[in-house]
Amino acid sequence: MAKRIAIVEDETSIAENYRDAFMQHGYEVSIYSDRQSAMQAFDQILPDLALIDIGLGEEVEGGFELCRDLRSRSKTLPIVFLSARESEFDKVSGLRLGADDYLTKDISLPHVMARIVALFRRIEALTQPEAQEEIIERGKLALNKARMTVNWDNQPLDITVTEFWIIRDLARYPGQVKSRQQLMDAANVILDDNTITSHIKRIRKKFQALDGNFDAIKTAYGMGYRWHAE
Amino acid sequence: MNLNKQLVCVSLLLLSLPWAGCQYLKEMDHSLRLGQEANLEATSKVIAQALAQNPETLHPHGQASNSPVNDSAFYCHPLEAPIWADGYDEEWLEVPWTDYRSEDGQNSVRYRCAIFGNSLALFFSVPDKQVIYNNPIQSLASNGDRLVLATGSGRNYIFTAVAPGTLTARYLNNAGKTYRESRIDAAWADHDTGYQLEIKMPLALAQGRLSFKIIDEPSHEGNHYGPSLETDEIPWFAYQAPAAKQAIEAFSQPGLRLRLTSPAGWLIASAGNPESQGAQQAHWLLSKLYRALLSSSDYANNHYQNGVNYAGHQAFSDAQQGTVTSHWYRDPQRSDHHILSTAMPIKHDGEVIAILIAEQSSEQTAGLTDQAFSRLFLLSFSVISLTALALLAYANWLSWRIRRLHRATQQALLDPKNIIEHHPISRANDEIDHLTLSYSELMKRIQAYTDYLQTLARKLSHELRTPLAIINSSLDNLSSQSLDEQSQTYQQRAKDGALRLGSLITAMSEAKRVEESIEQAELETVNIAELLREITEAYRDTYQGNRFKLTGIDNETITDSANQLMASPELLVQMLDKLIDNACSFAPQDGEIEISYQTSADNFHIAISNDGPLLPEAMQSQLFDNLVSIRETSSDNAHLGMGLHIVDLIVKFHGGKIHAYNRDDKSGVVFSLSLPSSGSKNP
Repeated sequence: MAKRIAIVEDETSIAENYRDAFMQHGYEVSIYSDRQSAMQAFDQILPDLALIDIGLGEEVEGGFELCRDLRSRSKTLPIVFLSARESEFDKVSGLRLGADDYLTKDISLPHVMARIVALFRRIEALTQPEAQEEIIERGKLALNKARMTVNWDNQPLDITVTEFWIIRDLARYPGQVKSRQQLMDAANVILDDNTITSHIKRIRKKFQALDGNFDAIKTAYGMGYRWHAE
Repeated sequence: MNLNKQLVCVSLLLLSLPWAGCQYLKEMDHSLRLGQEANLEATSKVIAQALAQNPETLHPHGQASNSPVNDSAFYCHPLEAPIWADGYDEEWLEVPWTDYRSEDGQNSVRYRCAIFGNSLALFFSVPDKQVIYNNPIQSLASNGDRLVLATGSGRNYIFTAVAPGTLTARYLNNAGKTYRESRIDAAWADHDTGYQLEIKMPLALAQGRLSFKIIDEPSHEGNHYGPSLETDEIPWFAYQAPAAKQAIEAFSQPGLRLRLTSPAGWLIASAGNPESQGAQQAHWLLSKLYRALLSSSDYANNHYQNGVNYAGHQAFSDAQQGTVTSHWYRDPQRSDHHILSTAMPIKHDGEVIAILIAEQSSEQTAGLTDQAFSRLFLLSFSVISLTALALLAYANWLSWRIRRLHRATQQALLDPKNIIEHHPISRANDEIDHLTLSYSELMKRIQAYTDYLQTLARKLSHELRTPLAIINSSLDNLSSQSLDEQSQTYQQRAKDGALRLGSLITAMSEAKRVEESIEQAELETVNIAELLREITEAYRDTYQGNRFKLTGIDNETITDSANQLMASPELLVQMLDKLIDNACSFAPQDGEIEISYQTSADNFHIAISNDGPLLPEAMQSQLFDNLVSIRETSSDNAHLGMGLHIVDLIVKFHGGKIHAYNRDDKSGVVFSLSLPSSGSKNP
């Protein structure tokens, strides 16, 4: 059965472009241009994935409302924000509300596709038995590629798809410096250096929340970052 | 010249006020003087007419009006004390001599004449080579050197001495007999050049006329000389008769001095005082100043005569001619006072019998104008000082307001973010206030414009993102369609364009994002020397077209903990990225970029220097402002003038300073920044 993707976006052209792309990949797509119509539809049946714009018509933060609402209905439903807003504040707000990723509209369709695919795969992986999974272990770090989960010292780390890809890219070859561009490619995003920097910061913080002495991600000034294996 | 000085200069014009006042006072003084002259002339005319009615009072002995008046006339000076006839002249020192010279010029005699009360006193000094005394055996009156005094009574008194000392006056009666006159005291004294004879007699004996003759023994014609020869009529003598004084005293009034002179100019009566006592005196300094201002040279030339002979007196000589004139004289006692003098002939039967001289002090009017002057002085002084003070205060106030406006404007230039709060508010509702308002309006608009510019990029980047997303997603969808080769080319070009547009949009909002990341920046300990060395290596790889040189850092430096700084390394790197990017884009191909590092007591100094075009002088201060770019040529990369602004934001966040300047040898540009080692000011 085809996966159902809900696009909540007030800009018709974008919504339709995304719909066309997703449909080509065999997904079922429904478009809602405002929060009310989306909510009505979600009352009937929840989609398998929701792609939400933050500003919805008159409602400046309608997307946030919708995200909160959806998350209350399903803990596992992948929610991705797609917004023209790029401020750190919006990103943090969106992710705190339980979104799985926050994408700016700069992102290209193939990158969005890669993310959608990854998210679906993660959902699937969660339902599969663990034995088949590919696990990368680097000291206290354990990466589950299929489930897209990260454990540090056997504690799960709550991360987004983008963050997972960045960690995986860094940890795959410890000691090797990864430039920002490489990290961007790995995370399937086109971002500026600052955004990578803030991603790295956020990742460090998440680790440090688990382990105050976390110091595995080193900065190579002017070049990028490297994983420092103990 | 500042406003205050300008106003002081303008207020100097106020000094014309006292000048005009003085001119007016001079006018007033002049007319007052004219009035005083006319008044005095009128007064003296009335007095003169009154006196002319009673000519006998002026001449108690019935002086003939046609009596000749000449130099040899006897004028009896008034004496202060009685005379004792002793032959010596101690009492006479103040009385002037009268000289008599005989007609042939061979003999001369000096004499003095005076009156005290009813006594007439005479003092003769007769030169005589050989004094021959009277031989009383021969005759009592007709031998020896002798003096014959002729009087109005017709008696000729003969004075001759048998020896120095007192002698007896004698006269010959009609029968030629010698009589002695006991009412006359006389004394003879010898002198180096002759003898002296002092005579004291009652005034009544002279009967108004007096003359004398000297007979020098051995007697012959040439040795008889003197004004009185037997054939001549004995002349009247003049003196200050109490009757005459009484006559004019009747007319005297305060501040007026009346004097009566004989037609020859001898003073015969004087009454009153030209000084009026009543006039209130102003402060001596003021009155001195005032008189100095008023003094003119008109009356400075006339010499005032205070003696007993008025012959040299200008008004008098006019009166002798029969005309009445008034003259101003300097007061001989007080140089800044003046005396008005009017001479009026007193005529009886067409003949001038006497001349009345009326005198008044200038103080009569000066007293009046003096007060006016003091008031004027006080008034104008207070007005001037008040006005000057007010002007000064006003100027101060004005310049204070202008300075405040100036300061506010400068503040606004220095700190464009807070333009409005710097602006002075005033309620004066005048031109300066309007100017202030216009300025603050201008500033507000500038700020609004700056704000608009600052937000424009951000808004624009946000607003452009959605249409760009439409283009991008459409192009992505298009690439999944089967397209012919040409369409694919166009699609690729469109993609390239969209990509560039995307990076432009990202650049536009960069400053905003840096501000955000500064807000969220977390400080950590950074070894700045290590950071610089690492990053220079990275730049060597990145910018292959330029050579990099790092100075001031060696292995020791890196291990030195003194190079540690609390900072945000990401921001520092971003800042250096911008500076290096800037340096590389201006440096010529294969040009050297020098990164130098130094530490001082409190600061880390980093300088990035490159060859290349110089900075325009005018732009150096604004270089770090937002949206300022000095790049002339457009290049592929987007240059919105934000790079250095971002650098500035980061440097300021770390509490440091940055400035750009041209190298001394004009070969390139240096960006020099210093970071305090104590770390960021907002940890």
